[in-house]
Amino acid sequence: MDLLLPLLVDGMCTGARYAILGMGFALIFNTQRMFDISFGGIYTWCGLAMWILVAYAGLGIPLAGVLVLGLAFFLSYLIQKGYMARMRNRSDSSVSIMLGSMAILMAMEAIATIIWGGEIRTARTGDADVFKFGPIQISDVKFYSPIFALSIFLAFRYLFQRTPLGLNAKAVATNPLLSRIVGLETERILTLTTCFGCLIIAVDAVLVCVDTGVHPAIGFQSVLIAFMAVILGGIGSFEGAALGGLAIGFIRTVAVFQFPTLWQEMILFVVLFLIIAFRPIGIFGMKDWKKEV
Amino acid sequence: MDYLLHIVIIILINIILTVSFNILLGYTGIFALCHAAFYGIGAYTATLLMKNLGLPFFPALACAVGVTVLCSLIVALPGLRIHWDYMVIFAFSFQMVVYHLMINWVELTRGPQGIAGIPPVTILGFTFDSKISFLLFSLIVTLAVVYLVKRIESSAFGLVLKGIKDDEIAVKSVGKPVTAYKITSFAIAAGLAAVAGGFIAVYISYISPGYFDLHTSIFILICLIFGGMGSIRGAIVGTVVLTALPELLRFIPYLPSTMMGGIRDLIYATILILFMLYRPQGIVGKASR
Repeated sequence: MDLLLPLLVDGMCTGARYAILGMGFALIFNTQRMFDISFGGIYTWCGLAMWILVAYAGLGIPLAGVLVLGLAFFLSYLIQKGYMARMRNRSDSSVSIMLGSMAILMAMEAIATIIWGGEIRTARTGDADVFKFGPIQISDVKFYSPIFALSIFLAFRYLFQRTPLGLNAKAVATNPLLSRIVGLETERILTLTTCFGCLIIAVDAVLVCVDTGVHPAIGFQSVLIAFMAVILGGIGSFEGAALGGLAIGFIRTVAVFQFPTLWQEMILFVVLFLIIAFRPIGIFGMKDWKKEV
Repeated sequence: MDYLLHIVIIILINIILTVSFNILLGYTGIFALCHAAFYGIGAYTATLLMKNLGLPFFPALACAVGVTVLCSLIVALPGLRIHWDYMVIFAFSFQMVVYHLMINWVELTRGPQGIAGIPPVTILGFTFDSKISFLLFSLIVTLAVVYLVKRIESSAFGLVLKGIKDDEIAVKSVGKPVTAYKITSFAIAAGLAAVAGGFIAVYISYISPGYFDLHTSIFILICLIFGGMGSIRGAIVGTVVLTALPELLRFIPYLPSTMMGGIRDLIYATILILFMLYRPQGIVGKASR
């Protein structure tokens, strides 16, 4: 019993971080309906930028974090305007969009490797602050992750259900052609929601950088986790992605405690395998998203 | 001279990979980013059988092909039931898991150190241990593979595969079992990748997980896109150019070797970025309709 409670808390904290990733990708994917994975590159660069701002420029962690979020928005805007918009213009095949965005991700990872090398960099100097709640001890990052995740969840749920941008994004997602006919600027809406998605994802990059550290290859890992969260939760559902991320965090934490290292990554694959084999639409998925072929 | 021969042999082995990946992506239109995983499974199975059980090369290679084909079913059976978008993710995570197993299953694969001392190929008492003899040997095998794929391309089977890529429902409506065709093309591609895996193992006589990671899968993909999807000539041209190109980096003076990998990846990524935007059909391919 005394192991169960810390395990649950730990699972919730890891799950909160994965939920952030899942929500960010869900925002991008639900609007574009394309696997635009260029966010992985932004994730890598934001993590490294955080490290530079804290370790070299000597900024405090909160200020550096806000600057990094701004950077994420800006980078994402550049990528969308400069490349992805042209790709979308040129072809509507999801393979091309995925390949193009993967190329961006690879290029950003390669540049990061050339400049900073492959080592793990962390923005933390000194020991972590530890919060104590009775028998449970959690580090500051783990304490803040669920808070961030919950505020992002509430803020963007509000954004999507109440504000014009959210409603327009829904319209573009459901019927791009009709949205254009009624005069929506679909490209602008796509770009903006993608930028917001990358902003959310950068929150996780900041947390990781302070907690365990970042390295160039972390971009592809973030993509995999985000994919899994969205698939588990159900494609097309923002709430589902958050819950999917949370569930993956729990599964992974339990796996770390219960299984040897060899099988830890296998657990996630097995989970993905089972979902795809038995319930491809995920927990909250929409049945009519794309019909099975 | 040995260095040139080495590059040619690597190119020949890579051609097997690209040409077999072309069956999946170019003909059937299945985008499964896990070709390096099949390559790795083939290499490790062949190596372990030769090192631990002392099997000769060809039986070991045959077993490796068999094991890899079985592994390809793990991806193909659930993956092909659903829309291809999921398939991409599924294959992607399969690649990650196989790499992870190679690194962490230390008792079997010796982890990141890799396995050294793989015996060279011996046929009827002749040992292919010099570069030039291995070059001839791999040339024969590569030509055989290319010929096989060419036969597949022009056969009725190949036509059905291309039909699946262009219009799956039309193929289904004339009564072809589309899923069976897809699974077969998956198995062929994986089996050929295993052949390449067996060859790289006996050629370098050392394997480690680093050869079979996601970047290798992406490299095979970029070779195919650079040359032109759906054409054997494109696959060969792409492989030759992109395998040889980074070797030029070695001749830049004062370039730290730690940067080499990064610069190579940047070159590949740039090629992919530009080709996807301006010439998605590759340098050999015809413009799409």
